[in-house]
Amino acid sequence: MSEPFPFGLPPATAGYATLYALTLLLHAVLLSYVLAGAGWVAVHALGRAGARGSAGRVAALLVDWLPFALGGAITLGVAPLLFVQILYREAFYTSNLLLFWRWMAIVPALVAGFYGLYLAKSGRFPPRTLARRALGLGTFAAFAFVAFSFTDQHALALARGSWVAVYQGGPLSWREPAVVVRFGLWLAAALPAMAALVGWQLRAAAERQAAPLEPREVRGLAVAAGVGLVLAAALALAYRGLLPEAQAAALSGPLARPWLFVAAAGALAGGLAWVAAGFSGRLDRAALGAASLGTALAMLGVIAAREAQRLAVLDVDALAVLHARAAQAGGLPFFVAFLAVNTAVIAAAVALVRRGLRARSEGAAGTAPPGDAHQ
Amino acid sequence: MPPFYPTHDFGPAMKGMVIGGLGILHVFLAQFAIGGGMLLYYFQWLAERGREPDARRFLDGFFRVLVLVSFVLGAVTGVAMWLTTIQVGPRTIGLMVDEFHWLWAVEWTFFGVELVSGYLFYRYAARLPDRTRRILLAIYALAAWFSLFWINGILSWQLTPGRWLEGGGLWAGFFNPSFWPSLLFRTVVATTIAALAATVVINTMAELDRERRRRLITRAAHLMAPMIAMPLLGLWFFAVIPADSRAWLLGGSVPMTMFVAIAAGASLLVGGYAALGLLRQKLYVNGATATLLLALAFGATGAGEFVREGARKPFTVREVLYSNSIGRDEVAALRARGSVTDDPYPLAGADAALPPELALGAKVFRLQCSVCHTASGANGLAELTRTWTPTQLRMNVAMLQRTKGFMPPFAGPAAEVEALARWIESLHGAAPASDRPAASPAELAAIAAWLDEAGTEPAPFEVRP
Ligand code: HEC
Ligand code: HEM
Repeated sequence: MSEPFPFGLPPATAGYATLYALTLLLHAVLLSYVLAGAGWVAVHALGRAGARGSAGRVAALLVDWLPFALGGAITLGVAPLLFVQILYREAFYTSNLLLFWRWMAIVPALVAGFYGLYLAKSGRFPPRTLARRALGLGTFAAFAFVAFSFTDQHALALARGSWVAVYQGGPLSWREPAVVVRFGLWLAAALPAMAALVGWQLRAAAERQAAPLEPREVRGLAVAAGVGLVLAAALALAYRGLLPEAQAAALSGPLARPWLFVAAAGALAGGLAWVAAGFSGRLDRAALGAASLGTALAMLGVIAAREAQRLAVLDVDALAVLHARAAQAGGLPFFVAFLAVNTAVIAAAVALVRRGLRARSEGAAGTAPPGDAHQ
Repeated sequence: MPPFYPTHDFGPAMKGMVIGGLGILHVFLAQFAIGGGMLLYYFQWLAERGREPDARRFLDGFFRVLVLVSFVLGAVTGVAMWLTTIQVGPRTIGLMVDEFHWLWAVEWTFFGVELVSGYLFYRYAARLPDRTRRILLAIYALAAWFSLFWINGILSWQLTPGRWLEGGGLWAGFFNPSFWPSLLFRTVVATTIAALAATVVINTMAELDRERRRRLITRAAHLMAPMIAMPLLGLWFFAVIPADSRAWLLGGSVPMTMFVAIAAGASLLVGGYAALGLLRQKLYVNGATATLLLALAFGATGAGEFVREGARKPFTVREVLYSNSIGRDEVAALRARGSVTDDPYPLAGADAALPPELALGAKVFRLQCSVCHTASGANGLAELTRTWTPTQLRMNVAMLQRTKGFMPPFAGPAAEVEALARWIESLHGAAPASDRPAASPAELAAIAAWLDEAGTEPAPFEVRP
């Protein structure tokens, strides 16, 4: 294996790994929106900003869209959940089993977080009340817990040497300092991804409401994205320092290294775009496009390097035999066909609704402010 | 040989009970979502045709419930099902994923459609023209039903793999003998649950007078009409499942027969009530009754899921993988090698302190029996064997598949039978095993003879009760 991931891997392994990485990227984008978005809303509720002002528009957008984004994050998590089982089997299952209730606790946490988002959206708690603040913090904590659990589970899957001890000591006996740093890395990286997505939404909202973006709004997002990028870079370096030899070496190896360059280049491009936007106070299409593309590349690079790290620890040759066997199962053409058809159905449904809304607003010009939730 | 996995000790509860609870909740919610989609489509159609003045008002209220309850809990418990299934049997889920991952991936594309179309409706329906609303609901309902379609093939394959066993491939496994009866049965259950839930919601619509609510309830009850087909679908299902499963469900096992009876009885009550109402056309179901009927439906769903789980014994994938995650084709090798010889996981908790000869037995129990038995709790071995003589115990364990046809063959050498028997005897509070002499070669030879006599295959169909 002297080529970048996934080239040079046996064909079946490469195929599943590619699907895994691409679907995980989609999951990562939306979970970032949820994680950083819930964090933003929580911080906003703590502050004195109240309901008005520029940060107010971002928070309101987030409150409005977070429930759907969470549904999306969960749904988009299902595909990598499928592929990770094919790819890594024993390691994935064992860490699930060893962490048992600590791992299963993500289910009530997700339910709590989900209802927390709906409650916030319902507007039942007025801003600046204690209940509203607690709700914001609690909801964010629920998602942070879920994210931490995924990181934790992932790390244990790679630590075969610890399995027996964790089995004997119970789920709470698994404590790995590198996990905390890695979790911080995901949290930090969530900020630029969220900022880019919110940037597009904000532009659309400004257009609809005929209320142009204020420089303060743009700067708020730019600062969040910039801080996230810098923190993520620092934590990535710290994380590498904490890794066992083999895994650290894998990150500098041929499988991962090109991808880390991609990640760095993407982060740099995204960072520059945000710097430009921050200074000019404008969020034009080009800057936001560059920021989005940069962030996506950075995430893709990190995800690919993440697999290189994992493949360095596991017995790839033994796994490849199993992957080749799994690849003999039928149905791939059906997946491809239904993926195409159902993507088209989704696009058609969105188009249909747009047309319907337009027909209505033309019919009854000026009533019902468009873009507000029907809630 | 496949890898060994760490096994949990759930104390007095079995693993199956842990997944059972969650599974029932998920199935119930998912079926509610599926039936709910159809019901909404029907009411949208009524509204559009002007046949039911309050249909639209109900629709928007009901959709909120559907989103809050089933969208949220349904999706999350769905993920939870994956995770719990892993907890109960990683080899089972692994085998299913290996065989059916592309179909699962297909199902996933339908989840996406369900999510987007549902959310679009939730967010924008109030501002959309009727035709758009109806198309959205059609997309939503179809996507929800198709997610059932795909998962149903995979789940029914576990019980009746059919021609897949003879190398028939993916589609032979998917469209297996119980595919259609279970799909249709679950569809009927889905519309029934949705109708009952709708009745509960209609009762909360205080702004309507009783007569208008009654009209809505009668409309909703139309979705219970397919219940007429339930007995037939049930019979069809029983006709295609393996003979031994059928015998077990219909009298062979007391708990299983009880679950069948609960499922059938509860369905009959719900169906009877619906039939009465539909025939008389004057039905008014108040909130309390509706809730009670919904609870009955929940009970029926729960019992039905237990039946589905239980009917597979001793397999988790019929004819291929036993409930204790030992492959049918692995038993012979484990008899020679020892089932726990290579198990890297030491005993944990209180068992860690056991003396060596009992530790071996405890490990064998953990691997081979703990999926269906506890030491002394639900289906506890201590209680089941309390009156047996030592010889009886050893013989019945060595010939496990003959003792009860819904148990797998014992998958270890005579020494493991002996160790397991001693561990079971220690549960009875017998004299400390260390005080007793080790089994003599003659005793071990007798056990080996029983093992050989029972063979390494499962009980033949006609012997499985
Ligand atoms: C597939 C699930 C399953 C597995 C695995 C299993 N059993 Fe059982 N066993 C059962 C069920 C169900 C019963 C019936 C209990 C009853 O009748 O109440 C049973 C009954 C028994 C009985 C009582 C039989 C009788 O005639 O009363 C004994 C003893 C027993 N099992 C021992 C074991 C041992 C030892 C193992 C492991 C080597 C084992 N079982 C594995 C499901 C299983
Ligand atoms: C708000 C909810 C969620 C958050 C915040 C979240 C967060 C994360 C994070 C941070 C990772 C990366 C872990 C790492 O590399 O260290 C991850 C991975 C993953 N997530 Fe999620 N997740 C959420 C929900 C889900 C759900 C519901 C599913 C399943 C349907 C899921 C499936 C996965 C999978 C399969 C991986 C890859 C695991 C691996 O490769 O070992 N996620 N998630």
